[in-house]
Amino acid sequence: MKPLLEINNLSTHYHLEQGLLRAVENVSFQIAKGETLGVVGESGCGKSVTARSIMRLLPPRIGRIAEGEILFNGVDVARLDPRGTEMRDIRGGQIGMIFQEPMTSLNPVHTIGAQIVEAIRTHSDLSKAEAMEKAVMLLDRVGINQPEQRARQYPHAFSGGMRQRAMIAMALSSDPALLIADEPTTAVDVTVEAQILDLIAELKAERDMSVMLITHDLNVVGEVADRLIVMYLGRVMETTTAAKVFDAPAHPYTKGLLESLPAIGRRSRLKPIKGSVPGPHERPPGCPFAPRCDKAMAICQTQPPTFRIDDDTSAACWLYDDEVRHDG
Amino acid sequence: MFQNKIVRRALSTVFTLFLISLISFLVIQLPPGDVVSTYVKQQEIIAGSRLPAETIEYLRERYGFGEPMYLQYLKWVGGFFRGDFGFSIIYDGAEVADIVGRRIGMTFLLVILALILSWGMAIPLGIYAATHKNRFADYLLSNVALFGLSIPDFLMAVIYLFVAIFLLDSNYVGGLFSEGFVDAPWSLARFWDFLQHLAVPLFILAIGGMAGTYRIMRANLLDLLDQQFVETARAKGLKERTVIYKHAARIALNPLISRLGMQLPVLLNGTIIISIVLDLPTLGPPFYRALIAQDMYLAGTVLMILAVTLLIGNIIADILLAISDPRVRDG
Repeated sequence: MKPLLEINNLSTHYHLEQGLLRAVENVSFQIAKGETLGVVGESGCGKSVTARSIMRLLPPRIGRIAEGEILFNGVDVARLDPRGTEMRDIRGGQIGMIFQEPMTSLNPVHTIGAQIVEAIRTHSDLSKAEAMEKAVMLLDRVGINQPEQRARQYPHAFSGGMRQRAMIAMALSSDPALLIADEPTTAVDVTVEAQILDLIAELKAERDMSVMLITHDLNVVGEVADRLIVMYLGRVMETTTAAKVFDAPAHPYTKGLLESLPAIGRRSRLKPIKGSVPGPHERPPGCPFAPRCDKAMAICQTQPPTFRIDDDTSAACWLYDDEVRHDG
Repeated sequence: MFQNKIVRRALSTVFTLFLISLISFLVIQLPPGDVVSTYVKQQEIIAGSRLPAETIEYLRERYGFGEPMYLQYLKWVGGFFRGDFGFSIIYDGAEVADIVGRRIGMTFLLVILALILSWGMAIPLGIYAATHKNRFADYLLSNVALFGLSIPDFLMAVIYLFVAIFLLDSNYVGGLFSEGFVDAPWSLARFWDFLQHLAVPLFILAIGGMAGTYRIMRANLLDLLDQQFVETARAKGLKERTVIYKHAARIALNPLISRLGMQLPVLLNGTIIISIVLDLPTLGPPFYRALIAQDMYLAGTVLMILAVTLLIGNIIADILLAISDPRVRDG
């Protein structure tokens, strides 16, 4: 079966005053229908830029898709006019998106209901009353009590968790095939985090929807994702499944991430990855992780290709090159 | 909550009005000697005649001269409620209420038209500049705005006088009506004549306020365009126009509304100054003459109008802001 979303060799560049920033380099991955893909990595690794490339929400005249294709339902989104009708139908209609900061994600001067109604009516012919009815149903579905009353309130009357629920209701209002969640729980309390993740998982199952879940937290991915990609400095380091990543991480960077992760019952000390993420304009040549990698070799000065490890895992690391392995 | 705020606001307004009247009263008392003596002397010098003794006695009685200060103040303030704002020396003892009444309408008409014109130009230009940041049009507009901000109203009025009279030989300089129309009833011809007189002073006034409004609008909108909810609006698939106007520009107006309270008195000041230069039938010329001649009832009354405008402007701004921003309304 053809995947819902197929990204091939995507490179997105930012043209900044300080120079060219290769925010996303040669990224490829797929999301099947009904699948949840986790996108993991530290901040500045290109997760959000990848999402914004798909949505065509890159800052105009600064962010540009330099190369590659983004096939959504067979349409190459990368070739569409970001402000054109076709793209606007996809954006919000077939792909919904929620963001990291629920406190600032909603417009403070329009009611919650009005904002959801606006989203519904952008992608359908429903009347205002019908759209409001649907908005109230959606608010009810995402777990907001007294939805009719709440729909008439402004965002400042909502807590952070409630706002994120309202955002989810809005993102799902046009029954999209794909939901992009960009760090949806980073800014909320831990208790709320679990609720929001559960809600996303439920809604996904209910609607047979695909989810692209962006997070810096491997634990979050373990809970909800089917498969995941690990990104570092704009590149995909590893593609794997949620089941395998904890037991058999392939890429040294993924291992490093896991070892720096606190887990209940663990005896050993946390081991942070040495060094820090280099600044955006000081990318190392070759493998971007080499300067921080325990296993770095001479060949790591050259960018490694992606090596297939088995059916559902691959890693961009010279350790998986046959010649290198035999020589070592 | 909201009602409470209105009550509190009304009380503080009354108190501020009291302070304003007190200061205006002190200003009126500042020149040596009392107003009646000045008036009597002035009549002697100019008209060469002495005022009848009963007129002088009546005026002294009316304003409580010779009585303690607080009684004089109370008599003066009490007069307001009867529409009595004192008499004017330079207008031969005419009532200040009449002089001001005949001109206040035209004054505020100019102020309000200038406000509408300056907002009407500044807001769209600010939106355009913010959405075309760092492009040629943005640089051009911002530099023109800086220029507009730096030139005082009166200088522009003087330049206009020079250009209109010596270079264009215009018939529409000074006043708001041509000679034949001053006392004529309103007609299409009179209205057209009025517009031709009005256009340039109005434009000069509007330009002064416009530069500031433009810069604030541009800066606000730039801030707002970086907000997450603007990206949310785009992510919904809305048209870029809807995103800009409904989700960003709409909110960028709020600080302009707050500033309205300050802007009204500034525009009123500008109107007065331009009117002095161009001799427009507003409060400007009599205020100027009153200040020079120490005609303190007239000057004090105009001062009070300035201060009260500031007060009313702020109240209007608060009400509009509460309508416009739910956070202010509920908070």
